[in-house]
Amino acid sequence: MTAIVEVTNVTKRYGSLKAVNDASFTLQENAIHGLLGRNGAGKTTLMQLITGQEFATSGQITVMGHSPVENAGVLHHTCFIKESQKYPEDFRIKHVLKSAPWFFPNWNSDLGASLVEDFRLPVNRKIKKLSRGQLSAVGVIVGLASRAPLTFFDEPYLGLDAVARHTFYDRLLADYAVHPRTVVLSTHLIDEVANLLERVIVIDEGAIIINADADSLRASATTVAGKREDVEAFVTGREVLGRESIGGLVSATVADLSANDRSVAVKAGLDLSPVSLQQLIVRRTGGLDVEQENAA
Amino acid sequence: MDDGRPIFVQIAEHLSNEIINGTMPEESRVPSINELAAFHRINPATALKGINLLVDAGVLYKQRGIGMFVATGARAELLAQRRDEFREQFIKPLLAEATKLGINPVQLSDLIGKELES
Amino acid sequence: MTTVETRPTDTSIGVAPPLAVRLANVVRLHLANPWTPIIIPTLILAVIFLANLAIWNLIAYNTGNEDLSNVNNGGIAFVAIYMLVVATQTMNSTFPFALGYGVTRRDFYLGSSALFLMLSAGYAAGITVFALIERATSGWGLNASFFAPIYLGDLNAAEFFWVYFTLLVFFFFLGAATAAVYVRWRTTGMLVFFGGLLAIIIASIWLLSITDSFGAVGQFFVSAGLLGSHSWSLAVSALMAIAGYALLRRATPRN
Repeated sequence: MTAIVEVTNVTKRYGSLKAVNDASFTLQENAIHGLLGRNGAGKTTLMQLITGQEFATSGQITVMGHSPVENAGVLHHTCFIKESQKYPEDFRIKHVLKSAPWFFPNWNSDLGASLVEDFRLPVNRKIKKLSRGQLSAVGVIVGLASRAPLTFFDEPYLGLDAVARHTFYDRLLADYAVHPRTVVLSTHLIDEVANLLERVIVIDEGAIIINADADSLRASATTVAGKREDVEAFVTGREVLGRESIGGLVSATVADLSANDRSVAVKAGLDLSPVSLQQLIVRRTGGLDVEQENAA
Repeated sequence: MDDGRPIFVQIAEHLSNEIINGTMPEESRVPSINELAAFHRINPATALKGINLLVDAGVLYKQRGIGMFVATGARAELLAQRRDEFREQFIKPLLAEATKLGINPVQLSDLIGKELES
Repeated sequence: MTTVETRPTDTSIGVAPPLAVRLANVVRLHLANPWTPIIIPTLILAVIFLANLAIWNLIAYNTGNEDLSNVNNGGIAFVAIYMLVVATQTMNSTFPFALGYGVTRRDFYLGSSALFLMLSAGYAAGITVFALIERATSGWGLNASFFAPIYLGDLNAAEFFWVYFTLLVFFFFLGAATAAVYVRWRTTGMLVFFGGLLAIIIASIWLLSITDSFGAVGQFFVSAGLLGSHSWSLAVSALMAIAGYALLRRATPRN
């Protein structure tokens, strides 16, 4: 796979706050990326940096080798409707649909129209009068129908009900399959989108802490449960991502178990169970150890 | 579609099951990657990995421009493979547990016989 | 079904349409909903004018006085103020939207400036036509003035156009530059800006009074004349336009 975006040692400061702290990663061409992290972790700032909407304090960002900042050649192929996107004064949904094709060379009006129906949007309503969910739907429609080679979705599900969210996921997959493009999906609802992702980037307090293939990440952690002494003996010298205990039983999440490690664990009488992407990320982004020392 | 194992492994397993139970007979066309992706709500690249697992194992074969098909002899091969796995996944733990509980092989065999009658 | 496998490389990244096309698209974006920049102000102006016409006739009928040359309500100033608001909204809400559409700040500012000049020219042309009609009909038969206030004196079509064009351009870029301060530095910026503006005005008055140069300033406008003063305002507009761009060039859309 080729990298379409390269982010090298990028830092963005707001006063003393480092919104993005020495971030380095790449986005792979035509892959769906999950940009995951807690609220305020720096997801939106990072996307604004890549789309030239924000200026890096230090470091370098390139899209296909070009800097995105004030570069029409790059930005013409980029779509980034923010979660809190402002729209022109007195714009109605129909004005968004009317103007989008002027800016997105791959814009597909049929797709746009069918999405408007899917989300049951009132095209003549003013953007200002839309509900939170309808506003999100407008952003989703622009993101999908633009078919921009580099498309960002910023928390696209806010205010959308379960049916509408799944409509979004289904339409994204269907259109992506026929028109592959580089997609970045920023979210903190990890479980819902986990299976859609090919790459996973996790940001925590401005720092990139995970940047991996989704499939290998899923296999990268295991929960080992059993008697306290057995578990402690097994995890000694390993990277423990989290630990919970009830009485004499302990369950620990450990990274990167080989097949051999697994059979050792099984022989030691330990139970192994897989860890979901969401659990893994919660563990890595400051999920606290739960110590429930229940007195018997 | 999520028991924690890599999804592409689950996809391969799901397809193997369909071949074993006859839903997808030999020489029949397999759903396309995009169909699989849409059906399971997964990334097409993941679906491709699952398919490739079966292509590498000789269970499926590609016909350029037409699609993916179940290979002749795939079912027999999958069955043989599953039987081996059955030993590892079920018989060995069964015996280990039986030993732990003090059930000897003869008693175990009796238990199985009774279970079949009931 | 093999699209995912082949993963075509998108080689179009790095290539943009020509500048003229990009700027035209920004202009179209502003006009996508023509109500705000064109239809509403034209309607309001029409209503103000018709209401005035009705009132003039009423007065003339009731008083028998057919010379209303002293009545001038400055209704035309509405257009200038309205355009200042349009420019402000453009910077504040269309700017972040355009960036989401992948427009560069430079293209956005140039395109918006082109729109401001086009709207100024359009409105100036329209008002000029009515100003000429007004003069030709002796103030709609009542010596009234709406489009061509008496103090403008005797102007030809080109001069009317020039006066209104420069006036509107001034207000557009005043709005754009002021809003750019807000977009760049938010509320803090506005406070500092207006504080600074106040300080400059006070300092200028002080400077003028201690150097005893009020007369000279007055003299400047008198000698420049109406048309000359309006032409000079273009220099101020240009400075505001440049300042607006300098501010917006490093601005980031925020919530």
